[in-house]
Amino acid sequence: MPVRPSFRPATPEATAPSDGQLVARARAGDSRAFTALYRRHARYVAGVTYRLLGEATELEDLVQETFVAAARSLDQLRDEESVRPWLVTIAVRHVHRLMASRRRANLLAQLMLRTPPPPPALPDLAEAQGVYSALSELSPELRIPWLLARVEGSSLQEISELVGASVSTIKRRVSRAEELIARRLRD
Amino acid sequence: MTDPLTHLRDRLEPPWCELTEARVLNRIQSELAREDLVPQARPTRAGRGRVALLATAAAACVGLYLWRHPRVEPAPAAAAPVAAVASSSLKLTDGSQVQLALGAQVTTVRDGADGIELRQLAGRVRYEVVPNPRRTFLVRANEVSVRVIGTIFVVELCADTTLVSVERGRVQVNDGARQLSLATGERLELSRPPREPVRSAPTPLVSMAPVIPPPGIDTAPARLDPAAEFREVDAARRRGDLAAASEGLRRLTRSLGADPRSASAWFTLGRVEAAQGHPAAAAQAFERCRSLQPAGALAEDALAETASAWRAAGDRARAVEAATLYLSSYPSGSHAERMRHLVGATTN
Repeated sequence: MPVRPSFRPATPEATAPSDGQLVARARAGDSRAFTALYRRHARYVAGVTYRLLGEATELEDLVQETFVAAARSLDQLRDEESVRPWLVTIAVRHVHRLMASRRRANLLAQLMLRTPPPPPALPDLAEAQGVYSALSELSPELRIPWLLARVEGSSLQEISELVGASVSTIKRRVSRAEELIARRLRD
Repeated sequence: MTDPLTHLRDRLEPPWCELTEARVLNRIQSELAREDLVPQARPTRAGRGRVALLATAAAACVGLYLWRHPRVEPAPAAAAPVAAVASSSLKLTDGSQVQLALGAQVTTVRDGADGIELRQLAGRVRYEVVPNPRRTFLVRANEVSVRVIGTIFVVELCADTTLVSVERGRVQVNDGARQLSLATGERLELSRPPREPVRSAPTPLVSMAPVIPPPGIDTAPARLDPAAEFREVDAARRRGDLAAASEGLRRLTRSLGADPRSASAWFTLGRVEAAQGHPAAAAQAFERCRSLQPAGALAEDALAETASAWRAAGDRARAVEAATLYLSSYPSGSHAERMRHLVGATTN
């Protein structure tokens, strides 16, 4: 994942423990360490989640679910210094689940009521509105890799690790999503 | 579509602030505690500062962030985390100085090597920014944002206007509709847009210090989705409409009942009341927060805030009582030094 300007802890950088040290301490039962990890990464996770969703209705719930899941599976983290991508992986999984659920609900609503899905509720950004409106018609399998690639700036390799699919699959999905979005924006 | 849209990443910042962060942390702690993954912390008597349970850790970290960032120099005796009850100055991690006039209030959104962002809530504040082109320095005041590289400037929030004046250097001022550049000696007065009407407000807005119903005398639960209401409250706070935020939080506290989020709502209400200059109402809200979750993630901060708010309200006895309780419960807590100072300054 590209390193973005992010929330920094109050402790001076020189004396701040590394993510790996915090993970080790959290695993040993030091609850302050887990809170410190939350403080360090929550805003970043919230940012990625927000941009993947395109709105904030369930942002707090998803960040909460991400960190609760992280606390439950801290022992499964292999590279202790890679906390941030690991958290994003968890967040992406939860976003995917939510999007899939919403998509099913929207499809059902369209079938039953013949009403279009609700438009994304974004800030007053015309460009983003158009993009997210087009994205709302895509499946999460296409939408998430495309957003990670084009908006978050992640590499195909990084996305493949985040979503658990091969690089070639990701490449195909991003390309397909791009095609559909371009077509939608032309219409 | 060959152009990457990574610029959207910077323009689509999530609605996330320190209180949102604390609120979500509180919910995480509650959920983990329910699952028994993490035991709830219990405030302890003097000498038991070794507590390392997650809830206390959460409170300590909340405290560290809320109170040490920005650090106040000299140590604030009675100021709320961001408020100046007397003229005071803050020093940021990059050396920049923030001078608060009497009654001014500033809170730190971000203070890192790559960027500093402050939110000015009230009053007149003078910013002396250390030049550093590699980091951004942003001050938000109501709907106005001021971006600088290195300069000295003043932002003054009045009832309906925001005044920006530059003593040295150059700043960019954005009021949401336009962006203007101000140079040395220039000043700009921006009128605040009229407030949006409050959606179906069931009770009139409160302009004076509100009365918080005592425990057990809640009025009937109002309605609605608490998450949506929290979002509305956050939006109101962001646009500086503290009265609307206060109103929304009051509705939330009535409708949430024993829900763990109720403590967050009371804590946020305390901060909002303090920012509105209602220290007694703030103290009551912080007390209520702590009484709802005495071992919760916000308990330690709520107790320290209670002491500060009572002191700001002029109630020395209650201030000392809360500060003393804090020192006995959290002898090595993140607010311990400030509480000792408060007890000493108040009793001397």
